[in-house]
Amino acid sequence: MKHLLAITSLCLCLACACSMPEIKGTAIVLGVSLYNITGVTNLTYCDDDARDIAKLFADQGYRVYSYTDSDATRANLEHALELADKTRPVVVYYSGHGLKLYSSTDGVAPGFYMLPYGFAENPGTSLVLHRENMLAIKDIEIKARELSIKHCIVIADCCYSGGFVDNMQGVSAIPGDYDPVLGKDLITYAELMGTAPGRFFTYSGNSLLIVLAASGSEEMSFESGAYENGVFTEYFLSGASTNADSDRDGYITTSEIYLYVAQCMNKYWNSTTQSQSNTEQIYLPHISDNAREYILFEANP
Amino acid sequence: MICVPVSVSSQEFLYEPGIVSLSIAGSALPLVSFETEYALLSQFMVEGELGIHIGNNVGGSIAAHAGLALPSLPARELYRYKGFEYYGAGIGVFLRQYPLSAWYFEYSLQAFADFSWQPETLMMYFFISLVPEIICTPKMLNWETLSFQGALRFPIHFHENFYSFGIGFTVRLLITPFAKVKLL
Repeated sequence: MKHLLAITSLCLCLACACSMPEIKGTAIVLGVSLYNITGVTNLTYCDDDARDIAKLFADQGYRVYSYTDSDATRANLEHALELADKTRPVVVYYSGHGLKLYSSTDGVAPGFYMLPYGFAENPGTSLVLHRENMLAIKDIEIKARELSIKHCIVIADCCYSGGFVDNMQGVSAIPGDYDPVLGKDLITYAELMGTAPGRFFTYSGNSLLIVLAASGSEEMSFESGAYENGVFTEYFLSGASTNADSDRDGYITTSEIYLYVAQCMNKYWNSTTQSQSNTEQIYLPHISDNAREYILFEANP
Repeated sequence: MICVPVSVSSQEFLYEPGIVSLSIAGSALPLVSFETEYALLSQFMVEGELGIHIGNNVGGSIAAHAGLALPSLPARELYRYKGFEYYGAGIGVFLRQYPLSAWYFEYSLQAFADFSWQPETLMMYFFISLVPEIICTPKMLNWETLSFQGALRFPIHFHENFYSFGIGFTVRLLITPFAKVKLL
């Protein structure tokens, strides 16, 4: 009888182990709507973005660390990176304010930054930036290398996020300030061919991160009351269903979902804003130029 | 001038291919690709090529090709190398050898400057490829101004941070408009 019980227990354990879905990787999700800083406009749907994205990745079998508002800090992101499975893909998603700094301010170098909670304080009359709480794309890359993370995908739904996409190998057909109304349309093949060889002969280095950015380096990113999400995030969520699986192989890669989001933003958001003469709200997403692409989702999990 | 004996109806002929020849080729290319610090993964390409070859037993070539690279097989860590279309032009050298056997051989080396276009990321890249090739013509498929050839090619693609190499299987139609056949 004891043997029978032991064998039954073993079979049950094996059955449980077999039916457990494989953890595909780690998703670290940050969304900041409420900054609680005088002089900084709060956002409306970034926390909703974070919750929806966290649910999406959890449903797809990722281990998720999700932080909203006052928990969405750089320290929490770095702590979650330390906890991530280093052998599997690590996805970092951020929704909140983005900053393009033109000149050195409060000791912060010019460049592009994500602004997690606590990025600044307002002791009286003006903002004081805290660089240690701000997040440049290089900060994530340095931390990832330090932790020996080789597979890291950064998704940023914030203003000027195209600045995080440092395309040094290839040339994107989408300009950093896309606006067809003002003649800043997609770059032609001939222009791309004129630029691409120069990149080949001057490039050196290796890009660890794959970056999907909601907007160009000169563009703002927008939320929509109709979607109750950021526009980019809305189409990202919708593409994670079967919609973005363009080659119908059952998997959605970073490239496929990027193209899907770009097409949707142009077809629905940009055409509407253009018809309403809000040309400053026309924008397109950007992606980094790695040779690799990652399988993010199963089309029918 | 090259003089190649051609067997037709048990008689011996001299085959002179002429100084200019044109080729149309199609290739299937199983390759392995890798990015620095990442895994070696297999990838498949198909390619079409047009060439003009000047010279008899030694000469030079000018060629244009276009191809399609499918995405690689995925790695265990859920990544793969992207697929792309590519277009390029190149130059090369060749050496033709006509042994007195049932097969003629040609050896060539071409270097191409290529542009690859990734339709899913709307991005263009430049890369360089080297293509050593061994071309074989069975006598039975060699007519006066036309011959069908088979080839093995060993392409090496140098992207900025990404490399591919492998073996290609090529079928080639060689047109030799100035060829002559003389009865021995």
